[in-house]
This record gives sequence, structure tokens and C-alpha cells, in this order.
Amino acid sequence: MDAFISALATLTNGWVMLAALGGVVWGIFGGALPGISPSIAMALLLPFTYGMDPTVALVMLASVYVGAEYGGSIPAILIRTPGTNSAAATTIDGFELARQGRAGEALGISLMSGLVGGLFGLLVLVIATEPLARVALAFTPPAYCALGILGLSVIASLSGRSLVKGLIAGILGLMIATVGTDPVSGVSRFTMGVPDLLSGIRPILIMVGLFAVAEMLEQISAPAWNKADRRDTRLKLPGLAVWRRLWKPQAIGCAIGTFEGVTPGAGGTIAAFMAYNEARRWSSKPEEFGKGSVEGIAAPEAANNVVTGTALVPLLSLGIPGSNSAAILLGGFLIHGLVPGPMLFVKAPDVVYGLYVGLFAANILMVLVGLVILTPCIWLVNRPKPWLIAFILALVMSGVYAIDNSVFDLGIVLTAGVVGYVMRRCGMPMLPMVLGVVLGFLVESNYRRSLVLSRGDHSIFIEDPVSLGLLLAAVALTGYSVWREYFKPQSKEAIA
Amino acid sequence: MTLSRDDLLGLGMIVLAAAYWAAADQIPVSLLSDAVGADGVPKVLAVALAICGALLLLTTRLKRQPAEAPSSDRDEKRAHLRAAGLLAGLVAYIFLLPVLGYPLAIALLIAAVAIYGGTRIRPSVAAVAVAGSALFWVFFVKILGIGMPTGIWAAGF
Repeated sequence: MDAFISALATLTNGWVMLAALGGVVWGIFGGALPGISPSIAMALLLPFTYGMDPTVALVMLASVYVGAEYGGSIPAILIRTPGTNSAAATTIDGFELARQGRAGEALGISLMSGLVGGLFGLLVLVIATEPLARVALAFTPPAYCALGILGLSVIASLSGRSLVKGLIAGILGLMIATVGTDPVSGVSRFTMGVPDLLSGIRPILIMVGLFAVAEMLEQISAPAWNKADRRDTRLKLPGLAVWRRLWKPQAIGCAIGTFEGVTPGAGGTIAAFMAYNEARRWSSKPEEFGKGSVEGIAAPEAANNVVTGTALVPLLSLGIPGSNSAAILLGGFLIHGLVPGPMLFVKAPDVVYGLYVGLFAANILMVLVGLVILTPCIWLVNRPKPWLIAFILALVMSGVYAIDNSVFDLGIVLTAGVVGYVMRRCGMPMLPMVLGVVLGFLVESNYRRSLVLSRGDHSIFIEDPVSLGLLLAAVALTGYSVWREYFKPQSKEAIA
Repeated sequence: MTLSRDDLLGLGMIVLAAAYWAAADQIPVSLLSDAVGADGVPKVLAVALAICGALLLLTTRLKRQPAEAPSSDRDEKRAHLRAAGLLAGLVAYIFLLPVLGYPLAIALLIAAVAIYGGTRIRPSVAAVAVAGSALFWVFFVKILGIGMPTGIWAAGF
């Protein structure tokens, strides 16, 4: 209760509100730039959160996620180019409305549906997370190891088109996690005599390299995107008559976004397309879909904004990041010495409740900022791409150096960027690698600690009921993914 | 026989697994070590990677996917070269940073990337790069208090 009251006090904390505002603004700009996904926008900010108070830092990162999901719809509506993957479904009817001179109306519907979705997702997050985490409070080393394995089993559902490639990416991530000092004996492993590697490779460097640098290496040869027209882009919020048409597709978006958000690997893109399809199925005017339907914007925008809240449920309760953006937020927790999962509600409840309050503020601020940011967004989208790439890379190189005043870190980020570029070209998903890097230490250290406790007897993992349950869940999750890979290929979705 | 990209990836992973195993084998045994040992988990990972590499080779053959010749497409080659050029610029930045100092190095990086990306060389490029550098300098050094390298101009700062 004390933590909850202190969280409410967060609303009056100027730094938190400033972080939420800054995060939303940055997120909207990032989301509005095609090629800059919410996770990349978050990764670019990650190095700057080092010196911040944990609550301020996490609120800022989460606010970027909220802002980017709305920002992605701006170019989707104006120039038929989704700023984020999850805004792709919005392009269908959004751009049609823009062609009819109703771009401002489309943007208004997108903004308000995003608000409805964002607040609903936050409600689900608040209600579902703590009970789930409470169950996991009785964790022992074998249970923590099993939890890590359950997290790694998510790789199977994050593998996109090829399960084997996802597994390879996950194993490579685990290998990166073994670099440094051995957690039990203290001997150095795979450091090649380089002192900078003794403390291991920070996950943040891998994330920034895989997401941001690799994207810039791709973008340097990609064609320029279209220019946005300043005409007809005055934002117009929906009136009461339009709201009457919007509640049903928004409800559909909220329901689907909730389910897809808590399911690791599903994410906002799938949720948005599913919501679009279902909204058309249940609409009284299905013939309008594809020709400029307001419902065709409301459903996907509500769905992908619900995911900004619900995707954090498995992260906060079990420490399992189910999406790229959740993985970056996990990096934000780790930077501040916080480990999401069962103990988070015991060790740092104020941070968790502060994050809830920050997310609430971010959703409200999204509307206020959304009303005034359109003109600067159009200006930014119309900047020449070479300049955008130049400034983004300058920001990356400066931010990474600032983490530890280390030129060596810049080398690691560039190496990770090259690895990310090669992985993209080979059709390998990147999130499994991030999972491997993040969870590798947790799994290995608790596995070996458990065996020390049991004097080398592996049965400790099935004698502990929590561990057994988590391992069975991991087997079930992997089994389902294998079945989907080899027996139901037509239903596969490219998540990476 | 033309090897597809997945074939090359599978083979590459098997080679990497062998190298990783060999490196794990070189890890010294500590008196404080447990039953698993510092090399235990890495060796399991090496085996898993080799199996996955072999599986990738196998599934590529079983699925009889059309063999796409690696780097046969001219556009793709061009894209790789463009990416390599950008990477070379970033590597140069890493080497120049301690020598030239942050303000000059970051200005050069901004200008070089913009020109490499297709911006025409003209005085405004230098002006924007210098302005960008000043902006980054104020943000990182003056506002965040980060000790950025001053390079050979150290005496001047």
C-alpha cells in the first residue's frame, strides 16, 4: 500500500513527468521515421538512462514505446509507409482517407484509439502482473534455472520462418553470455587476454548494435521514402457520431491486443492485422474497409497500443521479454541492477508502481503531444535520409561511449551491428540472440548452483515443484512451436 | 553444385561450433571449480550449435528450396558494398576519436556519412556537421557531464 501511495506521488514528480514527456516526444518522432522501430527508438535512448533514477529511466523507455506506436501511424496515413511494423494495417484505410482529403480525421482516430488501447493495456498490466509474480515468489535456484529455460523456450515461438535459425540465434546469444569471468570458479573464459572482456559483454551493447547499427547499415542502400504533404494534415479529433462507430472496433482491438500482447512472440503487428480482420467481419459496413473506413483505423491502432501494456506482463511477472521492445526495457532494468521477475515486487515495488503511473501519464501525454507534434513530424519525415542516418549514428556512437567512457565498447557495438546485418540477410531473427545474451548468465549460474546444492544430482530440477512446472511449460511451448514449424507451416508468421 | 545461403550458414555454424569447443577446451581448470566446470556449459552449447548447423543443412536439402546463389544479385552486392563502406567510416571514427578528439571526430562522422549517403558536397554540409557537433558536445559534455576525448587538442580544453 505504501508503495502504491508513493507511486501516486510519482505523478507529482517533475523528473518522472519530464521523462514521460520526453519519451513520448522521442517515441513519436522515432515511430514516424520509417525504419526506426519502437525497439530501435528505445535502444537509442538506453545509454542515456545510466545516470538516471531507475523509475525515471524506465518510465522514459516505456513512454518511448507508447509514443512510437502512435508515431508509426503518421507516415502510414500520410505517405502510405508505416513508420513501425505494427502500423502496417493502419496504412490500408488511413491512406485511403488521406487521399480523400481526410488525413487529419484519420490521424485523430488513430490518436484516440491509441489512447483507448494504451489505457486498456495498462489496466490489464496492473491487474494481471502482481498475482502472477506472487505465485513465483517461492523460487529456489532450480526454479530460477527452469524460469530461464522457460524464457529461452520462447525462442521457439520468436523464430519466425525458421525454428532452426531461431535456435542458432539463441545459442549464439548464450555463447556471448559465457564471455567473461566464470560465475562459479572465477576463471576467465573466451576473453582472449583482453582486460575489457573480463566483466563480460554488456547486453545493452549487443542490443544497440543488433537493432540500431544493423538498421543503419541496411538503410544506407535502401531507397528514400516518400515525402509528406503538409496540406490536409490538421489533426481533427473524432466527434460523438464517429465515436459511436469506433467503440466496437476498439473493443475488438483491445481484446485481441490483450491476448497477443501477453503471448511471447506475437506482438503488435499480428494483433493489428487480426484486429483489422475481425473488425471488418463484425462491422455493419464491411464494404467500406479498404476504401477509407474509420473502423479500419480504430481496430489496429487500439490493438497495437494495447500491446504496449500487455507485452510487459510476462516481463514484469516472470522476467521473460516477449518482444524486442520488452527486451530493451529489460536492458533498462538490468542497467539499474533490477531483475524483472518474481522478486521485483518485493525488492523494488516503488519502481514497478512508478512505472504503472508513468505509463498512465505517457498515454495521456501522447494525446496532448500528438495534437501539436504533427507539423514537426512532417518536417522530420521530409528530411533527407542521409542526414537522418548521419545524426542517428552520431547519437549511437556518442551514447555508447558515454556508458563507460570506452572506445572498446564502440568496437563491440559495431561488431554486433555487423552480426545483426548478416543475420537479417540470412533471415535469422534477432530477438532469440538478445534472449540468449540476457538469460544466459541466469540459467548457467542457477543451474550450477543447483547442482552444488544437490551434489551433482539432476533430479533436483524435477523434485522442486515450481521448477518441474516451469520445465513442463517450457517443453509444452517448445513442442507447440515444433508442431507449428513442421506440421502447420501455413500458419507461421514472420515475427522477426 | 551451388551452395545456398542457408547451406553456407549451416557450414559456418559447424565451423564456429568446432572453434568454440576448442577454445572452451583451453579454459584452465580451477581448484574452486564445481562438477560442471567452467567449460561444461560452453561445450554443451558448441554441440548444440553444431547440431543446429547440421539440421539447417539437412532441412535445406529436404525442403528442396530453390538454390539461391549467394551474392549473385548485383543489387545485393551493391547493398553489401554500401554497408561495408559505412562500416569502414565508423571504424575510422573509432580510431580517430582518441586522436582528433570528440568535437572534430563527430563533425567529420556526420559530414562523411551524409556525403556517403548521397548528400552533395557543398559548404552547407560542413555548416550542419559543425552545428551538429556543437549540439552533441553541449548535450554530452556540458549537460550530462561525460568526459569525451579531447585528443590532440587537450591543452585547449
